[in-house]
Amino acid sequence: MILVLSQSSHELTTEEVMDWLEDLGLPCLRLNGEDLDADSSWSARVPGGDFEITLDGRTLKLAAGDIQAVWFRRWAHGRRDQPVELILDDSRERQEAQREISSHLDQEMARLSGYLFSQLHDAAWLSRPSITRLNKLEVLEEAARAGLEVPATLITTRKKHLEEFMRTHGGIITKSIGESRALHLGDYFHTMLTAEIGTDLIAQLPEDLFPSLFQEKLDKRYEIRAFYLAGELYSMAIFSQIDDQTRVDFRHYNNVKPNRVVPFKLPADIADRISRLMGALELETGSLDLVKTTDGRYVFLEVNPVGQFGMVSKPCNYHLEQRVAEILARKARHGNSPQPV
Amino acid sequence: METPPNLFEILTEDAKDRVPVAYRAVEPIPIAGAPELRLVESRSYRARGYFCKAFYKPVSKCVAPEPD
Repeated sequence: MILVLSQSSHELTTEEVMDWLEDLGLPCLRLNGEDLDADSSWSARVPGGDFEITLDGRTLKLAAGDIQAVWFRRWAHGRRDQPVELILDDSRERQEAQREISSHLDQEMARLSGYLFSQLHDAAWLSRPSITRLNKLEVLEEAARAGLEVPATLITTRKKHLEEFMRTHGGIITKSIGESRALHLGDYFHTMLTAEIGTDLIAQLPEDLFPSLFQEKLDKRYEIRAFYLAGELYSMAIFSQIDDQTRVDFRHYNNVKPNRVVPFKLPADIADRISRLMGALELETGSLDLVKTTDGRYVFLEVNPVGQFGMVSKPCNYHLEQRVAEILARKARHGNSPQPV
Repeated sequence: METPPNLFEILTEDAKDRVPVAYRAVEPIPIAGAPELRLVESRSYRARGYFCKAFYKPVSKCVAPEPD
């Protein structure tokens, strides 16, 4: 049995991989993070107990000994309290109590998930959850050690240093130190993607800032999204530079006139350095963002261990969903030992 | 649809100086203007549903009835 750990929304590819697993004759079970609370009932006895989960009236026994391979695609906690107000009163004191309750419930769910993952320790995993939460700054350090060029980066609380950085590089961008967030407010998502900042904005800033990340603005010929899968690299060039909406970050998607994308082969030395980086990060999967600059350099930006790969697979006809299924099948049959697929 | 205030604009003056600089560049995107969502009735032991973007090829098996 192959266990697929996923989430119930914002997840494009899980079902397709499962269809390929079925085609390969391998039974698989999908468990969404939300299933642990929001939409199911279940029990587990500790120590050594198997999980017994009831989803939609159907009871499943999740016995660690029956799971040969696990694909950690993504994992989002659901909580049955989310649709309701926890405390009736919007005073500041009670709002704080509500935040603390919510934080505690999240922590409880995180510990529960951690226990479930640990029970499956002996299975062959395609990406273990413990290594999928990366620190963007540590990754930049590791990328530089692997021989990849990275953008000049400054994290600072001092406006004076930001002004010096701007003078040195001419153009700069800012983005989150951690993962970017889309904050939901009313009928809108407020997205926190990469944004260019100019001298006018810098002039408005206070002398002391919240710790913020800045990078040199790269003159792009095109952006590259690459998907790394167990030693294989599948890349796509994105011509985001000619559209003002996507010029700084292709994720400011133009849905009316999408960027042109084409299959792309990275130079062997860059691919080798990426393999070295992924090895150092102990990652078997990851969506990598790079830039090809107008002066011909390849600059590494970041890697998301659980990034989407449908956006590379579909336009480039890479059939990555099939490839993921084949690698999971290999792991189910042979464990983590390297075997040709 | 009326353009909403930028998230940064609705912060208090105190808060504006106490959040990361990236908050000044947060952009509102209307949820209704996002790529069309397709909620697919999946097999019960799989997903409740998932996003389907423009380039995404729907999987016909996902809309098939549960096998006996």
